[in-house]
Amino acid sequence: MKKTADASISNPDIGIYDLAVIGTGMTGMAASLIAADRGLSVVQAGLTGEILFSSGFFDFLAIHPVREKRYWTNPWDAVHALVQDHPDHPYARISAQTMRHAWDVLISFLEREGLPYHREPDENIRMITSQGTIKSTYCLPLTMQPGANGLKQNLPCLIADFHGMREFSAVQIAESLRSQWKGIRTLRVHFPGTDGLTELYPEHMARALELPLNREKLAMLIKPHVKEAKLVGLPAVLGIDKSLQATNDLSEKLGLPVFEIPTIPPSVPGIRLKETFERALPQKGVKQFLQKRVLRASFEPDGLFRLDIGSVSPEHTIKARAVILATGRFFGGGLYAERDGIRETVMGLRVVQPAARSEWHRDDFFDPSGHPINHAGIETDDLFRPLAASGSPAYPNLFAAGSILAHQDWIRSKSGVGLAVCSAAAAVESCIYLREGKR
Amino acid sequence: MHTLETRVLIIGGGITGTGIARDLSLRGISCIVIEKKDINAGASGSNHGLLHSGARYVLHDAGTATECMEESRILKQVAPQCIEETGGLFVAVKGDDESYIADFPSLCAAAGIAVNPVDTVSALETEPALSGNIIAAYETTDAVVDPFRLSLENISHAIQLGAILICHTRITGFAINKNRIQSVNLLNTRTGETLAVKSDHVVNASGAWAGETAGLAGINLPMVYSKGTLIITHHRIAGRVINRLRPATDGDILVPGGTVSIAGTTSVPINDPGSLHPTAEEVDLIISEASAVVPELKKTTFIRAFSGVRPLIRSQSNFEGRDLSRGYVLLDHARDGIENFVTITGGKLTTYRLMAEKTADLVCSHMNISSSCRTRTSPLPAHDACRWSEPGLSPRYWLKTRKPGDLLLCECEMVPVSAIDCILESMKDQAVPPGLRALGIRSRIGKGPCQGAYCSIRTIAYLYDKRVLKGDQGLVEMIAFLRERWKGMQPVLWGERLMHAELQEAIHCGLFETELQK
Repeated sequence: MKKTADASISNPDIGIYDLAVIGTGMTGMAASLIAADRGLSVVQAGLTGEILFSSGFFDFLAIHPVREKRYWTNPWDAVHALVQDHPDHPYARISAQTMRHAWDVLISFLEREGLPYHREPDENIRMITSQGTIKSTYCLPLTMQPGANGLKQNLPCLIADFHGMREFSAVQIAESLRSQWKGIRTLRVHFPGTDGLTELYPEHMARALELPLNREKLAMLIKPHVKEAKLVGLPAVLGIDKSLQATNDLSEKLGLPVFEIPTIPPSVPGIRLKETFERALPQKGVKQFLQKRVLRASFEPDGLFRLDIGSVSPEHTIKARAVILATGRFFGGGLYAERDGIRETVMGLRVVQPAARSEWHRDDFFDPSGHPINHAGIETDDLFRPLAASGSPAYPNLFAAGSILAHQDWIRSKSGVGLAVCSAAAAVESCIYLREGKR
Repeated sequence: MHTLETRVLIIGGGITGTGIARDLSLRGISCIVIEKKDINAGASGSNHGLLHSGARYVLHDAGTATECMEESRILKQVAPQCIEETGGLFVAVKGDDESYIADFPSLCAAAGIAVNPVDTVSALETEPALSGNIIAAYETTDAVVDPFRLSLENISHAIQLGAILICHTRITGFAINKNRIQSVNLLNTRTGETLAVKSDHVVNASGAWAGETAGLAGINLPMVYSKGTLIITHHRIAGRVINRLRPATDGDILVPGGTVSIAGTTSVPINDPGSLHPTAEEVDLIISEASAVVPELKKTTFIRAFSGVRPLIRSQSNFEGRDLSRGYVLLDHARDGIENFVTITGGKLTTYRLMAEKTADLVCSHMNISSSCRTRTSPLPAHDACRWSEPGLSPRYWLKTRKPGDLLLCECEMVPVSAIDCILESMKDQAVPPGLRALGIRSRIGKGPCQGAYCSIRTIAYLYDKRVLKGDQGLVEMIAFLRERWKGMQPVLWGERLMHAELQEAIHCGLFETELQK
């Protein structure tokens, strides 16, 4: 069902697509994936994307209400409760069926592309981080899963780290977890082939561990220290393209399960996701303009959007029957905060926001109710169309998805990827629904 | 309960207390400094680091102006490692009070302060960040001092001479008998341990808390406080200290410091000196006022804001806020019925040495010790561990002396592991428990553009590797560090800074779930 852009009759240089996705973060990638699967011709443009800053975890929803820090084992129950309490939350506009479908599409896609994830159907998973904290998430890379298991069962564990890897201390993890995961021992080794190097960078380490020889050397360094341990934890640097093979290979060599521990972003699991999407989406017919931004977007008299895409000046112009805005928040570049107010950067859409800058943030960084600015963003109708000040959709065929949406706090409620993927799926559905309605 | 004995107990580890400790130590008098938090936790650590020429005070406070002039000259001689001799420029812009501009040179001359008129064209040539609207300019001898380094050097020298510093320790009471403080009861707020110090004399140098401290001895010392807010730019904007040539008011100073500049200040009366939060409104006020002289401030990126408190004893003055005298007050509490107790408060960073000298003189006369002050001429020795607080110094040092294997913990400010080791060693002498906040006071950790997002994580990992932190201490340190940094970041969060703040929250709350750990 691959479909490519129609050639425009009036201007052969301008391709017309069913859908233009602006943004290459998790939301943009999911929107392109789901839309391509549904048979739409898709064009996608964006800068690097926050996907590089992914820890590898896919959160759905773990905390509600944020102020009470209430933890939910079952994310679906959490969603249900959230929607009851906050009917304006984006999740309230998405059916459970759409959500399940979105997750299935994402997880099966990654499985096919060699980046398998693990999830319990209706349960959040608890896993350790490089800070020695415990985090709840919905899906995690299969390469991390034995760690979640080890934590649950309190298995004797060896955590190894490397000279020169400054953000990862096995001792810190063991000490911080002392009361919750007993029996962690630690080991520090020299990363194979890094004599004379001072600072080690996770991406370089991961690429080195793509080579079987380096894994062999690493296994030899660790093996004598395994002793009573039932599993071995390492920072998430076990390969890029074939992380599961690398992890399994190391497990075989050591004779016990090996798992990865997520590290501070930008991290290797983020690179894996980015490279997987960038490799596989074009194969599904998605036309990607990476490292490019949409410099100008205009709604044309023919009801289509015209997008000028380029780095500094326009290099490509395309037209699209619908647009999904998946540009993220401040860090992603979808929103920009001036000293006197917040604006949306691509279309100049209305941004729902606190009345004054003094109300953006709480005095305490860890204020239990979170920062009001995190609820600012784009307000939409039930079809995820941004609303103008009048209360009607700003454009009939413009949709917004992901963290740019108002009335949510993905950070505190632990719902980043869930919000990205589910709202992307909902926006794609709306887009198809409106097209078919018109026919 | 453990009891220590010394000649003089000094309450307060700011610039005054550490200055007195060094002064007394140089006279061969033993002393203990107790500090309820850490070095420079109060006003000494939250000011612009301006070493005043005195020109700022010529209108309302000629006495302070002259003192500043003399003291800044002395400090440039004895503590050059703490000072950048930037020079200063007083400039007026269109619309400023012309009679003040006209009077300024004679006011300065009357106070003995040298100023040099420069034409506006050459002022603009040497300081291109100035507004094209300037109408008058005078060169002064204003300079910049690193207040952390100054206090750390003072206490390090005092410790070297035998003084003792006890941080994280507050007073719980005075044992007073026969008109004398017999001993002082103390509590270590970190460990919960109690401690008593017997001394011949007690000096109250607790700054904004001087009234509270005196109150524990039954002495009524009502204080008034004024809060001043400052903002730090991402990069250095001018070479010299820029003062607006008008009677002192909001947003009229821009002080360079290493790689950054500090713009200020504001003045708001407050009741409680304990919790100072800079606000968005104060930041906007400073930008709007100061940009009249330096227009770039409207567009530039700010790293953080901070607030300090100007404490003053109420009876000292009829004025409020900014018009309060900047002179110091030395009170002999013999007049209140306690013979071996004095309070020193008010004053300026610039005049700390003089305040220490006068206090030590009074204490010595009470104790019938004849000695003379040596700080006027004796150079302040430069201690290895004290140099890391200066902005922009670490990178130069690191590039010059880089050794293989010396990992950088902070990439913004280039703080290597060797610096942290050196500081940790000095903290043992200062009896300061090692941690991120204590390192933050003594180095540039957490002060660069990333405001600690990465270096805090690396430093804590390193402290665990050194077995300095145990159990969940790292998490406790991290939470306290992020909270403290946040106070400063929050009012300047827009543009790029807001993007970084969002990333920081995504990392610490989104990924690590720091706020949910039990």
